[in-house]
This record gives sequence, C-alpha cells and structure tokens, in this order.
Amino acid sequence: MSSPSDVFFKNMPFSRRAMVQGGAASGMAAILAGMTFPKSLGAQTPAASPAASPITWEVPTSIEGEVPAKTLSGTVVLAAAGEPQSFQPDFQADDSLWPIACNIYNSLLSLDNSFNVIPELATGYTVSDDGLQITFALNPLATWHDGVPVTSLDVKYTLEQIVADKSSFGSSSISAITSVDTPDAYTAVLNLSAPSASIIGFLSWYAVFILPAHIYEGTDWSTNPANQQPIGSGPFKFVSYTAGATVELAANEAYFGEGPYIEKLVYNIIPDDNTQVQALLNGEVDYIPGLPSSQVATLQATPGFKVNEKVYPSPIHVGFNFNHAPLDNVEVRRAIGQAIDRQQILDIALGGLGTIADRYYPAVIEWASNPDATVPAYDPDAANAALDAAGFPLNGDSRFDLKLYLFTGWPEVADTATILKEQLGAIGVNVELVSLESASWLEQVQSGESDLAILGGFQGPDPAALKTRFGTGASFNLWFYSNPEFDDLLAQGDAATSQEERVPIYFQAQEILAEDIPALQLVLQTSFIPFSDRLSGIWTDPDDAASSSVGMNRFTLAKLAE
Amino acid sequence: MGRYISRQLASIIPTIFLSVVLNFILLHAAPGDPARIMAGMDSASPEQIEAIRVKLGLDRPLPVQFWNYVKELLQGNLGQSITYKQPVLDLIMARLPATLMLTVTSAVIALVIGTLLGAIAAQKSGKPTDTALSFSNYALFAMPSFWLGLILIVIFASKLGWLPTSGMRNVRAGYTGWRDTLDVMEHLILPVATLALVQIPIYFRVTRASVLQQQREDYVTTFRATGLPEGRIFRRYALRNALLPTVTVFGLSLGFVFTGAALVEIVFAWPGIGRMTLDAVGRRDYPLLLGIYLILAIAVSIAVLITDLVYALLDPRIRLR
Repeated sequence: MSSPSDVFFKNMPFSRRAMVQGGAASGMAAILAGMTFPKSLGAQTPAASPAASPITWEVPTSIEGEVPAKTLSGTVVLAAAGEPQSFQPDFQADDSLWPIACNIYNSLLSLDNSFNVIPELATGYTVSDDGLQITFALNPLATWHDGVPVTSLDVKYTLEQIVADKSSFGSSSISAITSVDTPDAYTAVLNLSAPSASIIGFLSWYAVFILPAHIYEGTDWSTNPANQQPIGSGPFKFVSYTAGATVELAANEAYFGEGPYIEKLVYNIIPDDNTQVQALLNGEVDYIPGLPSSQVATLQATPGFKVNEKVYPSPIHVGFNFNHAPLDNVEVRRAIGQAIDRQQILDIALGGLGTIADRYYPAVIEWASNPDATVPAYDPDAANAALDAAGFPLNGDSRFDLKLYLFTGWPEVADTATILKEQLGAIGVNVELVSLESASWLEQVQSGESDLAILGGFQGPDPAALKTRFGTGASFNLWFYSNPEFDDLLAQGDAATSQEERVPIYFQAQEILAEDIPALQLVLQTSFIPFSDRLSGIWTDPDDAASSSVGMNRFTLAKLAE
Repeated sequence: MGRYISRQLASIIPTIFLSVVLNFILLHAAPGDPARIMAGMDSASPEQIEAIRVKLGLDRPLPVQFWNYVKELLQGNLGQSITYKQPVLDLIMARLPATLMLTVTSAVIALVIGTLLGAIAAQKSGKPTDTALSFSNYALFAMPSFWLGLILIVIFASKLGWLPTSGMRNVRAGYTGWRDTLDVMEHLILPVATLALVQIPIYFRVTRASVLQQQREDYVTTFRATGLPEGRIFRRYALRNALLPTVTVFGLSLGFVFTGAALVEIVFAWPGIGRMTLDAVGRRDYPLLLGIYLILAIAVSIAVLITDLVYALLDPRIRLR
C-alpha cells in the first residue's frame, strides 16, 4: 500500500453483497440493490394478501399432541455477509440480523420459497366479515427458550409495541392495528381501524417477530439486555456472539414443530462474496446466501454442491424526475423508453443470468401482473421521430443532456447504466453518469437532483407495494410522480378483500403506469444460492418439501448427511 | 530531554481537540441521513423518519449536538452507537485486539524485511540483484491489497490447502487453550502476509534511497580516503544514518494501524475495527465514527510523539534545538 490511509480510501472492493449486507444501510441498500437474496427482502414492502395465497384455516378449538421428538446431529456453518447490530429483530431494520432472527424467533405467519403465506407461531387465522378483526390461533405447544409458554399476551405486547414505536420498521406497515384482544391464552384478536388486505403479508415478513412479553414488557425494548442475549421461540436457541466473527445457535429441543435436526447452527460472518465462495469450496462453510454471477458456472460444475436459482420480484428500473423538463413530457419519456434494448442489457450487464422485465408489476407474482401493461417496445426510429416531433431536434448529434444517478456497490447496475448511456446516446440524448455511495445517492435523488435514477427493489409479493414506488408523496416515489386516479385505485385494492375483486383494480393501476411512464422496468436478475450437497431440507430448494413448509431463511428442517 | 517531552505532550491536546471539531463538522456536512437509513426503505413514512431523528437527538441544532457531544467526551463518555445501541467504547474495544494483532505484526515484518531488502539493493546498486529487488517491489507496490489477498487465498487455501480461507478461528472445531492460539495464528498468516507484502515496498524504497544518499555524503568519502573498509563504513555509519527516515515512516504507519487494514479485514473476514468503520460510514453512525476517529487521532498523535522521541534519542541535534 502506498500509505495505509491511501488504501483505505481507494480500491474499495465492495461487492454489492458486502455493501448491502455488510449493512451499508440496514434495509436501505437492500432496496436499492433490489436484492437478490432472502435477507434483503426484509427491507422491502412485504405484502401478501390472504387472497394471493388462499388459506382457509379454521381457528382450532383445541390442539392435541406433543412436541415432536428430535434426533440431532452435526454442525452446519452458514456464511453471513454482515454483522448483526443487535439481536432484537423488531425495533429497527437490520438485514444482517434478519436471516439469523428467522431461526431464533417466530412470526405469526411466514412466507415460503414461492412467497405463499404459511403458518408459523399461528396455526391459523380468520378474518371477520367486515374485515375489521383478524383472529389468530396460536400453537399451544410453543414455548420461549427459557421455558415460559408463548401466549396471546406476547402477541399483544409485540404488535402493540411495534405500532406504538413510530421509529420501528414495522410500525407504518401494520399501523391499521388499533389493539389486540386476548380472549384466551392461545387466541389473539387484532382489531383494525380499516380493512387491510396487505396486513397478512406484513405479518409474515420482516421485523414482526413475536417477542417475549415477560422479558420486554415495561422496559425500553431498544436497550433491553435481552437484545444481546435473545430469548425466542424458534427452532434454534442463541448461544453466543463473537463480535464481528460468528453467531452460534443450538437446537431448541423443545421446538413445537417438526425439527430442528442439526445440533449447532453457526453463522460465519464473511463480508466479501469471493471469499465466501472460496470458504464454501474449501468446506469451511456449508451454505452461502448468494453467488456473484461470475462464479455461477464454476459452482454448477463443481461436484459436491447444489445451486438453487431464485427470482425475486425486484426489477432493475430507471425512473424520470417529473420536476425536470423535458422529462415532464410523456412523449419524451416514451421516446426514451423506445431507445432501450433490454436484451442487450440482459446479455451484457447480467451475462444472460436473468429475464427481461417489461411489465409494470413483476411477472413473478403472476396473479397480480398485468401482461398488457408494458413498457414501450424497443424502436429507436420511432424514438427519434417522436423527439423531433416533440420539439427536440438533433443539434449536431445531441438533443438534450440528462444526469443519471446510480449508487456504487452493485456492478450489474453500473453496467446497466453504462449501456443505457450508449443506447440513449444513439437517439441523441446525452447521458452523464453520476455515481454515488448509497446514502448520498438516496439523499440527492430524494431532494430532486437527478434527472434519471436507477435502482432495484423488491416489489412483491403483493401489488400493494406499487404504492411505495408510485403513490403520491410515497417514500420511494423518487420520481415526484403523482396521479390521483392511481392513488385511488391502490387504496381500493388494499381495502378489497377477495382476489377476484383486487385483480382488475391493480391491472387498471398498472395500465395507468404504462400510460404515464414514470419509470422503465429493465431486467430481473436471477440469484443463485449454493450449498453443500450434504445438506437437505433447505428452504430455497424447490425439490425439497422444506421450500413449501418453512419460511424464508429458516433452517428448521435442514439435515446434514454423514 | 524532559522539557522536550513535556513540550511535545502539550502540543497533542489542541491537536486532538481540533480533530474532534473537524471530524464533527465533516461528518455532519457529508450527505446522507442516519435516520433515513435506519428507517429501512419502502415502508418508511415521514413520521417514522422524524421519530427516529428525535430519538437520536438529530433534530436538535448542530451546535447543541456538538456541545452535548463534547460535554460527554470530557467525562470520558464516547456515547452510544446509533445502530448497535451499545457504548461506542465497548464496540471499539471488542474489535481492536483483532485489528492490532494484524496490523502491528505486519508493520513490524514489513519494516524488517523492507529495510533489509532496501539496504541490500542499495549496496548492490545498479547490479542485477538491485534491479530484481526494485522490480519486484514496484510490482508489489502496484497491487491492491484486497486483490493480493484473494490471490493468496486461492493459492494457499484453495489450491494447496495449507491454510484456512478466512476468519480468525475454525468455527467447526471450537478449540480451546493452546490449540486455539495455534488456530488463530494459522488464520493470521495470510492476512498478515498480504498486509506485509503491500507495505514492504514503502520501507524498501525509503531505505534504498536513503542509503544511496548517505553513501554520497562527504563523511563517507572521508572514511573511504582514510582507508576504512567499505563494509564497515556501510554497517557502522551509512546504514545507521540512513535509518532515520525509516523510523519516521514506521512511526507514521503506526497511526494507521486501526483502520488501515479495512480492506484486508473484509477480504479475510477478519473481525476488526477497519471493517466496522466502513460499515459505520455507510450507515452514518456518527457517534461510532467520531469515537473511532478520536482514537485514531490520539493514536497518530502518540505515534508522532514517539517518533519524535526516538529521533531525539538517535540524533542529539534535535533535542538541543
């Protein structure tokens, strides 16, 4: 190194993962990056409607049986990209804690590998006819790791605390909850201020893990000592944390459901994704949460490993600043859309590892995605003609200049931006790339500095997520786009309770977006999750029953072959 | 000598205070808002962000925030980390030993090897040995540390299987006692080698240039004229005088032992403070960053002080001035 300080500032080798999961921004980088791995999902808008995954559980009157017998063996080591900030998963967004918390705690419901809502701590729920009450039945076998039974009082404490603490991650997403009633130990009744189709999805997701009331009640939940020594109800118990290095969990032999099968679950914190791959190849870890695209072929060809593919509804998209002329003109926005060749982006920027995204809501969530509400098709001649007609003739070889803001740490997005610059240059739109570290990027884009901004971002599993990107004044409406008709449709969509009712509403909302073109969807990146083939029961494995019976990141059913 | 030391010591205090002021201003002037980052993204409502801001005291005017910070600092309290919700000092102390193990070891190794090679090259100036050494040092100098680290991992951990890939301990084995110490040392080899390799060229170049310069000095010519053997002139006089700049470089490099290894810590998954610093920058964890920078400022000041003292010992002219 030229001087140590010099090295500190140059040559930042951050992979997207290192940045995102290393916590460049808890939650934040994830959404920017449109994350391709499970932990990132947390940062996004979760929302599955009960209609999306039609479950008609009855609230059971009594539950028989006892905790399934456990046979335990082996230690499984998982790579984790960032260090958790604490072990309390609800009071702030923490993408590094999220996958770990999924194994220590339980939420009422969870989402399986295909984004379906499945039961966890709750065995079922019913919604009242007016949509204002949701009744959850809790599993009576569930106990906290200190032996105290899990009851509806824990649910009441947790959900009311989340709503009350406006600074918590979940507070705005479940704010429809006004109170929780506890008619008996295993029944929790959520009273809502208005019907909300998206709340079930939020309760299956992120930062809504049920916390032990007997430990947290009456204390400051952000500084409670249990935040460093967590007590959960999940399949694994917290054993120890070595600062910045490892988190060790041990099987919870009193777990109420099937599993766990492994004795010890160790998270080994490895921020660099290339190092993660080497550690996997050398047998030092058994599972890594994502694979750089450059390594996919190598891992697939190496015996002894399985590689799961996963597509998240997180399209890379570029949006227009409606406050900057000439982007306030829809003809200009359409022309820019026509200049974009998505196949080229897919082939070059993603190396072919992904799919084209041309709908306004990702096709991954099939029922909610309108196949006819698409971005303008590639047609550079039409783009040129439209710009001529709109009053932006070629002056020399350029029509006007735009600044495209991107954030560092996600190589595929940087490549996409470079290709966009080329493609727009071909129709005489001069693009200047402005590359910023993510926190600065967000601040500058939100304050309206950019003409164009490019990002990813989870938009599933419920179309209610469209609101945060395109709703008037929404936190991630980086485009200053506002259409009251669109806002109105999204409000209707959330209040409607059946899928049949919701589909036409959201389809119409997507048609409005296709007419107004506030942003252009580009491509969807496929993520790859490799693990040792000695492991089975992994939640991402579509060939394994675990993919539909445990929630994301849960290693409840994982087994290790000798 | 005593007066010299106290004068130097007195100059440290304003230096550190100035650095606290500058760090505070620069950090808050940089774009990015910790409340916004902490709120997470999509579901963040303006009320949620405001609630976090109030909770963290970021809603108060900057001078008030600064005054509160300094007040706490004077009582020896570095404050609470915004993201970890733990005392800054505890966080730093939990990671400092790992980093020091890495940086101090590699700095000493680089000093010894670099100086030695530099002296050899100077003695063989213009000969093939010199050319070869200079060339390889330039090559090392141009290598980014994280890249070199990864290459070493691929060769020594993946291909040859001699050494562990990353981390500080074998997480499966869970060794204790002397076996644990041995385990940590095994894990230390590659990151230390990486850091040492990229630092060696600094000492190499300084020593080589400095020895060459000394050999052209009048006193060396005089010694030569008196018939003193060349080897003796080199060892007893030229080399000793030539070591002064090396001492300076080493002293300054000690100032960076805290955060200078960040990239290597990331590549090798080494649980050190440099990595935490980069995380804290990304999250705009002001109290944690201020704490790290304060310790850094103190470390640099002390390193400079020690360098000055060593200088004064080596060179009487300095302490008399």
